[in-house]
Amino acid sequence: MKSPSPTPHRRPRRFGLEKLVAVISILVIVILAAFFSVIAITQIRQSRMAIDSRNELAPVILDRHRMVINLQRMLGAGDMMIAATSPERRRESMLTARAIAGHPTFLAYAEARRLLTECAQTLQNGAELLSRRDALPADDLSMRREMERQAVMQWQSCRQRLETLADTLVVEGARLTTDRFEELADGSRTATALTLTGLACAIVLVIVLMMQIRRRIIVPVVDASSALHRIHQHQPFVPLIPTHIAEISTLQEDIAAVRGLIEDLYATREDLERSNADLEQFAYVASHDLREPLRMISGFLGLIERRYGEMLDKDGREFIAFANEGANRMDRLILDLLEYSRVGRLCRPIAPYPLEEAIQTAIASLTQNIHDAHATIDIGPDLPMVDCDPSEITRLFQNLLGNALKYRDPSRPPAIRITADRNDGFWRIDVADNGLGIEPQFHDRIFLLFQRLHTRDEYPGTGIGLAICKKIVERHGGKIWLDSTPGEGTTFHLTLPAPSPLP
Amino acid sequence: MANFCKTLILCLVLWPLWGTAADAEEIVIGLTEGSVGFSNRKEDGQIVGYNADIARLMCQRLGLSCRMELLPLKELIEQTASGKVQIAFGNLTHTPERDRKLLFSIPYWRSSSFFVGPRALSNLSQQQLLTGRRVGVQDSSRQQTWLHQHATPTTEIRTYPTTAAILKALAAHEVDLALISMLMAFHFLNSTAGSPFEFIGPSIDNGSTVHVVVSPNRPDLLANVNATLADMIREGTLQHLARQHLPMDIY
Repeated sequence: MKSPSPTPHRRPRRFGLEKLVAVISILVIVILAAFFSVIAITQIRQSRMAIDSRNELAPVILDRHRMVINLQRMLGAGDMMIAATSPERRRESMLTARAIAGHPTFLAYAEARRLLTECAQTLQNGAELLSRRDALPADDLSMRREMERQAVMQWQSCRQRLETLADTLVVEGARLTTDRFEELADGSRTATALTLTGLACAIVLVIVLMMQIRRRIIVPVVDASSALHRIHQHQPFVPLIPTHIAEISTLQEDIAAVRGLIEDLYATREDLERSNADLEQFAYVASHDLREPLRMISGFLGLIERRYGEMLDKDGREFIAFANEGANRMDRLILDLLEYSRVGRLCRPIAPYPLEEAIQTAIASLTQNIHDAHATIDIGPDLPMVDCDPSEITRLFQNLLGNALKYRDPSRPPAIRITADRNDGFWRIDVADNGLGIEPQFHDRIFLLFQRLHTRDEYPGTGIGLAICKKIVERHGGKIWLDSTPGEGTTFHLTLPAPSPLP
Repeated sequence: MANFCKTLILCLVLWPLWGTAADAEEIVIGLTEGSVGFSNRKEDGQIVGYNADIARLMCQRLGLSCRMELLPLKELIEQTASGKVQIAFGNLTHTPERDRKLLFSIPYWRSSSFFVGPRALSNLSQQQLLTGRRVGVQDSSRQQTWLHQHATPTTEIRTYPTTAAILKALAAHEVDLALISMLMAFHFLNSTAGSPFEFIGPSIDNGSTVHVVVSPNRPDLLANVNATLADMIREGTLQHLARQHLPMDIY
């Protein structure tokens, strides 16, 4: 059965699998490296920003914090100076204010330093005003109040500006902190977004790659495998879709070539089977149909002998005897040929059957011969079950045992031994005798049709027995061969399939 | 055998303690003598002040056995350079000469220097202030270097071993002006002896960072000092100690 030829496809551009894998790997590595590089850069930036926050920003914020503390000390000193009742306390406050104004805390903030210096001077002026007030007579209340009012007013003005400065510094510190937190949060958000995007891209990339690998590699390989299976099962061939992968494309071409070869083999086998069947049919029909005229010849020869035997001279009667013997021989030959052609035609299906039973049946059919020859037949223990047609296997052993009895050594009674050994999926059965033996050059020839090693006068027969044995064994999927030493005996070896284990 | 085992176990148990005791090396910590507010000896012999407190705390944290010595600034620098003093709290700022001799820690406060003198000199310019006047400075100090660079030909520079000695000379009118660290002057000006005097003019410069110094042959100690100072700054210990002795945050 020939399947339709595959539809010709345009031959696609091919890529080597190794090169393709390398290109895909590089692509994946580049894409992932790009993503992870960006993520790493973002993380490094975040890390640097965190370090900068600790090393640069925190000191700046702390400086502001210290300035605020010193501004509050300054405010405290000013308030203490205004409220102080003794010159010593006023001097202490004034000196504190001066010390704060002169300290490098405010070095980097010229405006703040100017304000502090100005306020320190204001406090010194205020201290002098209050000292002058203390020097006035106690009853000069209006002047005393005026001086006190001036000192307080000057200080209040300064105080307000110092508080504003402190508030500004606090707000600036908070803003610096907030801005940095915002920057860190932005960086973190970016890193998270990039990580998620990278992850999503990696997943998409893997899915796309898996789909492409499935489409371009797995599916063509599975199709190729299916095609091989279909070829094996002798089913119609489904054309394979051309692929870009060079190795798979080569595989497809090889499968197509193998398919052609196998189809040719199938065709040849079918022709051979048909020819064999025709030959067998011919042999059967010929042998069957040949017997009819032969019976007629034999019958009329008998009639001639009975009716005209008295009228014939000695030579005439001898000629008729020769003709009769020839007809009988031809009949035996035709019967043997018919039996040979029947092997495998009129048989029961092959099934497990006990080998010993087949052997015992064969022995039973040869009882008289065995008795006459004083033969002993030793059957080995535990003969197996074999897959066979029982009647054919019985016939096989009838022939082998019959030969062993027939070609015995006249100097000793026949001794036959049958044993079986397991060998893989087969049983090897040995039938050994102590007969005449066979010269090595005849070991193959004796299995051919009508081949004989002795004359009919020595041993009657047509020479078809071992040919039938060979046909039976080969029909069961086995082999038959022999080992022999002339004068000592012959061992026939044959293999038969062991029954398959139950599933 | 049983006694041997007991002795062995006892030795093993006491080994870490013995090791700790052996590791507690004695360190000489030098402090400047007569620096009121930073390091000066009270009448009962106790050394008090901002630097003294930091030194004690540092010894405690580093697990060191410390001995404190008050020294004039010049001796403090020399003995630290020679290794007799291992750690020094001299309110020292960087100068090229000191950088060659000593190992400087990270800064732990900032100093500014002022002239201190009679109130009547308050409104004079720097040039007028220095012309024809006797000015007291501490020997080997940054102020002495500055004064040598800015003095007029008629300025008489008088050096003293300690700040206390300068201020004593000022109170005794042996000098017309003292050029000292503002925070050391602060305590003097608040005292009865300092009442006739004032800060004169602005600070002489923009101030400098002040450092602990370590003997040059003890870089291991410098690393420990730096780590301890960083901890104290970060956790606010220095701010807390400054508040006990000084009128403001001085970092």
